[in-house]
Amino acid sequence: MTNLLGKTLLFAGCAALGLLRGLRRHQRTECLQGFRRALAALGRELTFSLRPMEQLMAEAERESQGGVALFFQTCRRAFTQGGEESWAESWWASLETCPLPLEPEDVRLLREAGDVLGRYDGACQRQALESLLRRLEEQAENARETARRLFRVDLSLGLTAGLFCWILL
Amino acid sequence: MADWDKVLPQFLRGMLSVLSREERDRVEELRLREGFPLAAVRAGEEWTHPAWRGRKLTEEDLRRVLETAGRGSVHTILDQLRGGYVTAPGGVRVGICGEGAVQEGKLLSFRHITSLALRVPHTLPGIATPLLPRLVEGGRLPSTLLLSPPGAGKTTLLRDLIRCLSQGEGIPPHRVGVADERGELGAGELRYGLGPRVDVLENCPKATALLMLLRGMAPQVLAADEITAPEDLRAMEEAAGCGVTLLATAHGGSWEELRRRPLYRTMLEEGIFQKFVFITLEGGRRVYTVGSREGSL
Repeated sequence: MTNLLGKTLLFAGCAALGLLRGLRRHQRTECLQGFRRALAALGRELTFSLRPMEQLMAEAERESQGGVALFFQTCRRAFTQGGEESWAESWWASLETCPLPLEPEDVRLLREAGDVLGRYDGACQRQALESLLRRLEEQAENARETARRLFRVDLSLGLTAGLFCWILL
Repeated sequence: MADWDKVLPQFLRGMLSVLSREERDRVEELRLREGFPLAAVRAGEEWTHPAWRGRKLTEEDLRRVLETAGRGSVHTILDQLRGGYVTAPGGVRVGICGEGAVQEGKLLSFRHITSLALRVPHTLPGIATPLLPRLVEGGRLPSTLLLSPPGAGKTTLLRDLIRCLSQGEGIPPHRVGVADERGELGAGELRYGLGPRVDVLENCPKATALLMLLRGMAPQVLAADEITAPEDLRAMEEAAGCGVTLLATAHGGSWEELRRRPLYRTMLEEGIFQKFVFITLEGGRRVYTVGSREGSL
């Protein structure tokens, strides 16, 4: 009886690992899309009102959800409470400290926004953001395609690993 | 203005922490020069605290001050930057010197920053009260120009005159429109100190702001700091023609100095202002001399 219970738990654990791996790929897509939406809104506000970054970050925080909202909150707080950091430093530090479901290449891409936000005139920032948004869109599209393609693979691998453990034990 | 140092970066706040509360309140300006220690201006004189003498400021220090003053958002202060200053939240004005980056005759930005002058706004409620009986005629304030050399306290006096008018202190209450191009009169929390009948149009060119206030807010008094351009004067003329009382400041130490400058000569000839207040520093104290438009002091 104990043997059967152990085998079942091991099988379920392996299957869950596979499922979680697949779901993480979907979360990455969602996160990239969240950043794309927030940065697009930020760019629009830069065109219209030229508001200070602190207010733009607060609005991005309100309009976003989950990890992306937490990221904008962390970034804004790091800047307003730090007193020494520039937006670039706050942005980069937040990318490192916030638990975002992103791959290293996504983080590298998002770091670029820190180079421009708040540092140049509105037009230069918008230009840089537009280029970044195009690449974010491509990255999110690739992530979505990868997630769709590999979800079944991840799940199958988890189930296979579980089955293998079952047989082995 | 007790908390003006909140808009400074941490290293500068740390340096200022050696000053007592009273000493900090007496600071009129901070002078930061690359390669030299920090200096504070009190009663018109530059002074360096012994604790600051061992720390020479770097260009990075100066850039930190500017970055903090602009809340890390260059796009919001670019026009000011190109005018040689930035106004930090709370009305602290940061004057900039260094090497300009110029394109087609226009200043784009600063390649190097070598000096900063931080002018601390002071709210001194009550300084205008003894002056009002000498200005008010028949329960009404005539259009008044406040004159002094830079740093003598024109803006501080203007701010308190606005407060008196808005709160009805020594004069019946008036609705005051404030064209605050540099954010030194009523920016941020400073606005609350101006009283309940004040409408502030901030960070907008003075001439445009004066006309916008005139059209949109129906002010009884219009106030503006530092009349320096012909368009400011034209806007003032238009407002004066609409029966609005004007309150403004200008650089100038005497009638002779005023008359030597074409802009102010025109203003005197047209009689836009009926009263003039000259501010002078005598032995560290401010002395206010009131004159009428005929030139009598």
